[in-house]
Amino acid sequence: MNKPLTPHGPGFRFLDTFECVEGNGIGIWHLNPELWFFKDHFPSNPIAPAALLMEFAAQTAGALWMKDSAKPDAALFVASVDAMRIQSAALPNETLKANVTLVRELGPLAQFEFEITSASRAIARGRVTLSQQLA
Amino acid sequence: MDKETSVDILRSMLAENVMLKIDVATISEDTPLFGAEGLGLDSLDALQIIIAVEKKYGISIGDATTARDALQSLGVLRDWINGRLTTA
Repeated sequence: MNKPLTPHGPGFRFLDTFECVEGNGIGIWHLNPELWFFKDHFPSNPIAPAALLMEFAAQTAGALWMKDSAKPDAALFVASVDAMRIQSAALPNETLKANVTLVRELGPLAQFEFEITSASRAIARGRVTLSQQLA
Repeated sequence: MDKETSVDILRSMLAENVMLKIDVATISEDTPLFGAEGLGLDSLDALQIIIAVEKKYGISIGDATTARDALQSLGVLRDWINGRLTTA
C-alpha cells in the first residue's frame, strides 16, 4: 500500500498525486462526482467548495514543504490565507492541478503562492501560510 | 528598487500587510512591533513584513535572529534597510 501524501485521514485527503517540478509543487485532484460534498454543495448545482480548493492548495504546499524534511510526517496547520481569488467554478469530473511555489520560510512558518487550474482554465489563486505549530 | 526608506513608507507597508488594531498613524518610530507593550504583532506578521521588505527592496532579512533584530520597531527597521541599501 502506498504511503499517503499527507497526514490527513482518507476523508479529508484532496491530493491524488504530487510531484516536484523545478522546485514547484504540483498537486493533482480529480473531482469524482461521488465526492461527499457535491450532493449538498449545491443540490442540483454541484460545485467544489472554495474552502476545499484552499485545502487542496494547502495540502500541495505541505507536500512540497515536507518533501525534503527530516520529519516528513509532521503535522502542518494553515496559519493564514491571503489574497485568494476564485476565478471560475470547479465542477464534478474536472481534474484540478495546483501549482505551488515557496515564497519564504521563517522558523516554523512558510508562505506559498498557489494557482489552481483545470486544463487551461484558471480556478483559483492566492497565498497560504503553513505552520509547524498550532497557534 | 527604492534607494531609501522612511518610517512613513514602512507605516504604509505595515498597514498593507498586517491586521493592525490601531490607527497606523499613531505608531511612532520607537513603538515596539512585538510584545504586550507594543503592537503585539506575532511571528506570522513578521513573516508578512519580511516578504514585503524583500519584494520592495530586494534585500533578504535572512533568519529568525536577524528578523528579531531588524523588526524591533519601524525606526530600527528603517535604519536596517537603509544600511543595507547604501552598501548594496
